[in-house]
Amino acid sequence: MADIASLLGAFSEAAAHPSKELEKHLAAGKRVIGVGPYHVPEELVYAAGAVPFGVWGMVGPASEAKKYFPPFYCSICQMTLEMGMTGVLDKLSGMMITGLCDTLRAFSQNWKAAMGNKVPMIYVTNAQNRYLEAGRTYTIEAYTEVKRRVEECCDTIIDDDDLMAAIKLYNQWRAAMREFVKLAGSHPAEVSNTARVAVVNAGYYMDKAEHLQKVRELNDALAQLPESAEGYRKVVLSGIYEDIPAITSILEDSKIAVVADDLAKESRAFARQVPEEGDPIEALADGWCSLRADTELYDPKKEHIDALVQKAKDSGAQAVIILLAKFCDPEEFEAPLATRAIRDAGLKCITVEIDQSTESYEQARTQVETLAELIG
Amino acid sequence: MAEETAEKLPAGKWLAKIADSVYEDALAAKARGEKVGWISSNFPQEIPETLGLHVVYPESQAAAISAKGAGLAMCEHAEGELGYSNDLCAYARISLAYADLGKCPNGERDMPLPDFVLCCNNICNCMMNWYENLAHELDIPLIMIDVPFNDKYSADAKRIAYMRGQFDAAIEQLCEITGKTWDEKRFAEVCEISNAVGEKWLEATTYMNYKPSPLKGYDLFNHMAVATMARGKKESLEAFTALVEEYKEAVKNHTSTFKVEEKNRIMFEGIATWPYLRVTYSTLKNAGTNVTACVYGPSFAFTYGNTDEMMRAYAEVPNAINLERAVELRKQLCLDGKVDGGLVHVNRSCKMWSGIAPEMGRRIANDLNIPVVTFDGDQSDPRNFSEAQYVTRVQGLVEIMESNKKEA
Repeated sequence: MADIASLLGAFSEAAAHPSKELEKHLAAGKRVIGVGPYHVPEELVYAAGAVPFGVWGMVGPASEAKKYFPPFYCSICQMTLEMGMTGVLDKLSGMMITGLCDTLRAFSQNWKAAMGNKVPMIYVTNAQNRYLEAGRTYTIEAYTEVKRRVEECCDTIIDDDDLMAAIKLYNQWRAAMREFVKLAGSHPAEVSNTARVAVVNAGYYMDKAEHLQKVRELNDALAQLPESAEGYRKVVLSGIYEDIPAITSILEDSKIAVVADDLAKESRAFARQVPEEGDPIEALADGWCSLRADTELYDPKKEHIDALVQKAKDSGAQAVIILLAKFCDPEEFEAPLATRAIRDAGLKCITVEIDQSTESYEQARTQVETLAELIG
Repeated sequence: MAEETAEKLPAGKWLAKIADSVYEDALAAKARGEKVGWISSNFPQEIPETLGLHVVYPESQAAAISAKGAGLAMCEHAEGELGYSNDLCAYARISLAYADLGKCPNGERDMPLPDFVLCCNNICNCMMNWYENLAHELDIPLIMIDVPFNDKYSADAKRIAYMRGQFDAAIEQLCEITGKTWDEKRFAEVCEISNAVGEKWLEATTYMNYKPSPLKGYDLFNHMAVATMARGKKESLEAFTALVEEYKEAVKNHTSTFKVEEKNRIMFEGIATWPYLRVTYSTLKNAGTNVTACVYGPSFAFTYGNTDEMMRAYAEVPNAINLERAVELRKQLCLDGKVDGGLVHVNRSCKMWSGIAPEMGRRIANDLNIPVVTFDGDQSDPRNFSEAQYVTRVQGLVEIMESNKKEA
């Protein structure tokens, strides 16, 4: 247990102090590129010898960003722009932004307008029609352009071998994270929700190889222990993110074990496997095109809903909590349909609205406590 | 439509009849057992038109429903019965409510339920989620043409090729669904008509450039229904031609559908507040302020010389272009329309448009040295509009415009 506690302590430290991690990378002579949400081919950054650094907003109120965004806007976009405009991200050499949803599209333009060349944008465009050859071709060409922009921001040329090595590393890392999610779910006594989130978030700030090594050590240590989920309420979290301290505390207070997740910042991000042969840019495009069952991605048969229900069943969950990010169209469109399907499958389901700028979560607490009573 | 009757009608009424006929024809086709579709406003309508399919436009339907006062009831059904968040686009909420109910509260704008849906996300990505839900809830096929948002000024070759690949796949899918056969000759005819309609629509909107304008800008909010829903039809060309002729006559005779002295000219930016057309218009009219620039003109003027150019036209609609180009587009409209100021609708329903509206407004104001004010509203949900705020903002705008004129 001492081992696990000290490992978790290292993750917590990195997750709680991203700026320290940033400084560490800079001190090592590396450039750092910001990576916004989501499904961004950040292997390109790693292959350029730079450090991909996750930027998904922060908890707090937006002030400067309100010059650009109306109040009814995704808080990840608002708060990331706030971070940019208040100098928090000044040491980044670039910022990767996708146009996967309407708010990200507008965010990309506002970033450019507000930040100019201070932290240049690397715009990542992907084909939603991933089922067609034309979509694959488009993504290959788009990623080729992204590669060039990353090279410009990192002042280097990305070598194919380095890119394939980065792909392999990321595949191993994602596999380790999938394993961690399972083990954390079966060991809630050892890995609290707070610790679980810290392990995930640390992966957005630490060097991937270093994070992978530590996650593997943690996984090995957890695997040797008997499961500890007895007495916990087994829940699947669905949504974009969960890392709001108030929400994490509420879940812990109700003795909720996250036995699996369907979160964009967590398991949806760890789902991708990229082929490890052939042209590496084509491999990255193939990794993108193989993605299925994701609210942000074109899903003509709504496979995501079935996949979520299946995930809940497979993980032995008693309920699904949809952490509904305010003003997130893809999530808000799907939530009523997913809720119905989950309940039809005999599971409990609640929807808790979250936002990085929300100050009080008392209503969420009541919702979660009521759910906890229902599932016993 | 009988030509004798149509020719005698004023162009505005003729256009309204054409818009009505799109719904009536689709209802009749459905009654005959034909497969009908729902289509997003900027999907390449040339495809269903070539195949002789009847399609109707949920966005136009939602606008009509809300202009006729039933937007709230439909939104409440979507939120209450279906569980949707009121954060979502009100057009989508109305449409999903209609898909569930199959009718409007008082027959405001009924249309047949679809056998397939055709989606293009060039104007917003919300469209993709909305149409996925329609397809899921109605258990019907969805065909989508994806237009990734373009950070660059123009659509490049990879985008055109991607569009083309999807265009061909969409035809194949639709033929499979409906049993129809693609005819290149008919496609060429449809393209020719669509181009001519687009050009004529755009020409009509440019009559706002005359000073004073022979039309009130709000007229476009009515006429655009045909530019949206019937731009592949011959009678639309005839009606828009008649409209242009009326505008020419009006210029010659110094008449206008804007019935008061045109003291100020403004750009209106954003989707109309359909539930409050009367109050938003009368506030402007009472201040002698006419809309003479509006992005609705170029929004539905798809002109092209070949299929690749058609792809480009659909890839470069206003919400698919970058901020720099969006600003340039508006600035040119402002210059052409000789505006004294701008009024920007920060529309709760439209995340994409509202997300860049503040910066766009600032740049237009700065570059053209004109006042630009914003107001909060919604295209269809009447709960998100404050008349008092709107009136105050318009008053402020008018004061600045008039003060600027005195100083000049």
